[in-house]
Amino acid sequence: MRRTAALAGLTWLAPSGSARAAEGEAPLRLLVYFVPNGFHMPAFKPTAGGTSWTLPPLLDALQPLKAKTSVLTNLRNEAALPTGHALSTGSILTGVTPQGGDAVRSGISIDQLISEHINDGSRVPSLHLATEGGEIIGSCEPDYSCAYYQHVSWLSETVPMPNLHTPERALQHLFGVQDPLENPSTRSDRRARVADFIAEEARALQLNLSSEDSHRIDEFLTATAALEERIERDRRTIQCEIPAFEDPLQHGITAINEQLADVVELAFRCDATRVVTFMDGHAGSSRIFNFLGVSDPFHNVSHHGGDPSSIDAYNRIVAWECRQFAALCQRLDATPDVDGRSVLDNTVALFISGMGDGDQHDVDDMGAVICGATGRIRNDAHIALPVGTPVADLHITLASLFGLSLERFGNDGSDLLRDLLP
Amino acid sequence: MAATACSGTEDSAGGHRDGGVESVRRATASSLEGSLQELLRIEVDLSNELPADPLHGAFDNQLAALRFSPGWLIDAERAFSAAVERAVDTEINAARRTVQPAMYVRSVGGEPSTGDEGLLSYPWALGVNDAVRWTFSAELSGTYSLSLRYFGSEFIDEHGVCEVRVDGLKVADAPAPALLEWKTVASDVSLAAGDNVISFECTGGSEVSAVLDVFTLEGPAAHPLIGVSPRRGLLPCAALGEEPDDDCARQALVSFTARAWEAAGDDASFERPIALYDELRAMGEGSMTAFKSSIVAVLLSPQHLNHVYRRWTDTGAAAAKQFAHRVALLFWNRPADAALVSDVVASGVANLDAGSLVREMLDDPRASDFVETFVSQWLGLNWIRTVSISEERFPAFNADLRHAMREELLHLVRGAISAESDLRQLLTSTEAFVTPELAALYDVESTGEGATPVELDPHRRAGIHTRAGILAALSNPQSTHPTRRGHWVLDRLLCSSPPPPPANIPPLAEPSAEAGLATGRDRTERHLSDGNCISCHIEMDTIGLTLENFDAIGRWRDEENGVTIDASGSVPEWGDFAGGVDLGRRIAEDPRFASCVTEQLFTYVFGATPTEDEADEVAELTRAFVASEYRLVALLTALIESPRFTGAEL
Repeated sequence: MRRTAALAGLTWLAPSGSARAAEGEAPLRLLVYFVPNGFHMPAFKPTAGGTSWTLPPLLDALQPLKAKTSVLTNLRNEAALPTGHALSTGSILTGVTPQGGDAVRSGISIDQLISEHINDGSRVPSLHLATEGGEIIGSCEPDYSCAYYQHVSWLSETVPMPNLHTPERALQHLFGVQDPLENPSTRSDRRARVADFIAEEARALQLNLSSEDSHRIDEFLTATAALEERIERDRRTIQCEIPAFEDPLQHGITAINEQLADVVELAFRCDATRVVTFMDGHAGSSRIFNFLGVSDPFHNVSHHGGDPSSIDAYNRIVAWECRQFAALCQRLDATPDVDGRSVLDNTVALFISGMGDGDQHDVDDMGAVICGATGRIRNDAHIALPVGTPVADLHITLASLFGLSLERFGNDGSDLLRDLLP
Repeated sequence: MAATACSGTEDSAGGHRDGGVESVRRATASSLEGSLQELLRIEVDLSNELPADPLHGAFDNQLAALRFSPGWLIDAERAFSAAVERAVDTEINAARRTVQPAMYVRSVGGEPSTGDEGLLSYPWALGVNDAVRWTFSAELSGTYSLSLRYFGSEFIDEHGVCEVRVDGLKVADAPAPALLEWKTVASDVSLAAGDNVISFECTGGSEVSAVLDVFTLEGPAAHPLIGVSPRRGLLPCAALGEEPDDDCARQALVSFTARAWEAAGDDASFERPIALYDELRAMGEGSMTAFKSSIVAVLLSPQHLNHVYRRWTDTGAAAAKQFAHRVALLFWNRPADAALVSDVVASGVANLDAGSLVREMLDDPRASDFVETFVSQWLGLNWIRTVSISEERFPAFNADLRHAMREELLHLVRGAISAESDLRQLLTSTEAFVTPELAALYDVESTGEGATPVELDPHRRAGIHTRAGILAALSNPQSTHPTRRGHWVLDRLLCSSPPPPPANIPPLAEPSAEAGLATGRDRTERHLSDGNCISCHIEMDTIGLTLENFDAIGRWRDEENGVTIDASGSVPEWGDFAGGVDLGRRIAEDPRFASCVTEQLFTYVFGATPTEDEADEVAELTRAFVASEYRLVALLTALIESPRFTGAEL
């Protein structure tokens, strides 16, 4: 059994949260927990509306957090039409229809807009985790790039944010490599000069490029600026205890979820980042959940065709996903924040898929769950929105919680969801 | 290829000045791995350091999907810094391996005392004044660790002496063991490349008797990096253990930059990192620290992280260098080494014998990267590693079998792409290379313990589409998936992929004895009875159903759930056909196969599917390929000779 030996048990020099310096004022964080293949909507929708609601069986795992949970229904993701896994996943956080053919192009995702808005350079702007990586067998979806399958977060129209698949990678990404023998500031001086050098080289190369290639170098320069920001951040440190992680690949699907959830808790607790996306499988995931008594691939059972045994298998998998989300929220709820509340109270935790019922790739009738953000949104409610409410309006509302006012978002977002606000 | 209009600086005549940049493409993580290995001379594994490059179509090296994200560059800075630290700290690459020496047993007097020459007799018993000898053929000279275990049997004469010798010279004493006492002698021995005779000899006493049971030899493997000093490669002018002086560091930095940025072809830039070095020194950094940081900067610069291709009006040295690196990227997935660059520069691109070059590149061990990247991605040879197959339903399908299946596919591919081979062998070959487990699955006799060549039943299996590794990769966990198999044939071999499926398609039913669901054909025919499905599914399903004699892990079957399998089909292009062998022939005869191979290679090499404007180029390459009787070598030759590849003005 391999441990992340380089990181295990060490006290790491983690970035300081400047907001933490302001005693008693806790930051708001965003967690987007994406699940593939949709939900069987009859099992997802609470029967009663408003505050006299009960959690539907599919979401039963959220029972202990019901007071901090709201379920949204009647959402629609028009950008995903004419639907499919690539279109729905590639648009779920961008609100923009992904381009087909040889292109890789969607829009800036809501997590990135929020990240940019709240980033003061003192931490990793956003962290992107995924439980499923590696090889995709066969073609993803004819006419659409696999890039849409594997990413939900988009820095720009053309640059999706790559996901990290193991705790070790995530910790490296959050905390970097520190040399205990060297003053971090000296090291940062040197690294900053290197980053400056590569940016100069990029600008020199850019001088005689076509506009498309020049755009690529612009992307490189954006990345260079992020590297410079990262180097600056590495000068300032506080103490943050890092637990040991065992190699999750030895332990199967649930262990990977649990370990990446540990990373999320750590990242929020140490204020190493305030924005996380968590892909629990790529679009159209065909993982097999034998331990749930389902021997067919997830994607297959989501196309249940109305068959009761397939629907039952589909629901078992989604209920398991919800258990993972609930367990993470409970971890966050057990973690005290600087304002005396819990980290969950200061986190908008969104549980969402790219589609409603996976059988028809339905994007006209979708749902979502929000945990946390206590007091900032309407908690403990089933919020039945007007039929066909754009998912992009939900994103506008989320952005507003972070003080980012958007008049429009994506193809069809133009309004706040006032029902979601307290 | 996506719009990459020539963008060299225009001169007054409206033409292009030599060396204008035509396209910039980010290097893949795997090609950067090769580059770091060439430049730093250490083993580098970036697979757990950089994000995996997303597949776009079949390949992970496509222009549209290879972007720079902030996280990518931050990861690259960390990974490259660690690699440079390691290279500077590595005095010599000393990777070792355990070798299996050829052994024989012979008495001192020259007569065999135990067993026969060449056999692995176990254990080796020594009588009085006996010796056990091995001839070991070392690939490389160097220090090997030898270990030998023995015990005393029967009666040991206290005057007896045992020792280990190499070519007759004693290298270690081996104390005589007491009765039934185990002893081990271990020693480092120096071996020359070529044959070495290693012996265990016991002499001097009257009744020595020992039994040897374990003999191991661990030593340098034949690997390009073994014995190379990464530190000396980076800093040839600095004494070991000392910081370089500034002149040495600057000189080493320029030569490193010239290698790292050579492919990007802007000689004037090679001295720029010196200013960085001097600045870091002025900041108070030591010379070694400044040197290492400068090396990291060179590696993180866009000239190294991208493939920068220029257009050339002449075919001078700069054009030749770019060409050499481009060829090396295609065949070895890494930059060219100095020898290749100087060969190409010496002959010039225009006078080069491209056919010989292609053969040499493919003969090089580094060409395994061509199979691992282009061919594996094109045909999906890696899928067998991760496909989900029910262990309960197919207990034989374990990790060893997956590995054997993939090795068999690689073996088939290597044969089909070798110099004089007709690539259509891929679709018709009955030769296989199988382990006993895979032989059992194929129901053929295998003779040895490891993988051995066998001939498959030519009435049942011919071609890659009839091999277990492909058939299993394109199955459901419990059952076959004819649509997926058919789609693979159309998509990967004929480039005739149908349009995307509509949303509301239920998965195929699982096989059951129930009437109407017994066979794959019964279940799949639901597609063909539905007017919405038929137009796209007719060809996919028909082709896939002709492979129904192979179950989900590729075993032959005549019936399913008691119903005889009907593996016949008919498509407009081919008429009636039946079974995998016939299918292979039809694909091989279909003109779409040749153009599809060309299109796949073109897409891989230029990083984007060919546009309508490029259709003529693809057609011309296809003609050369067909005219050569489908020799991939000929297609590759035509491709690297094309102006789009050489960088000559179009």
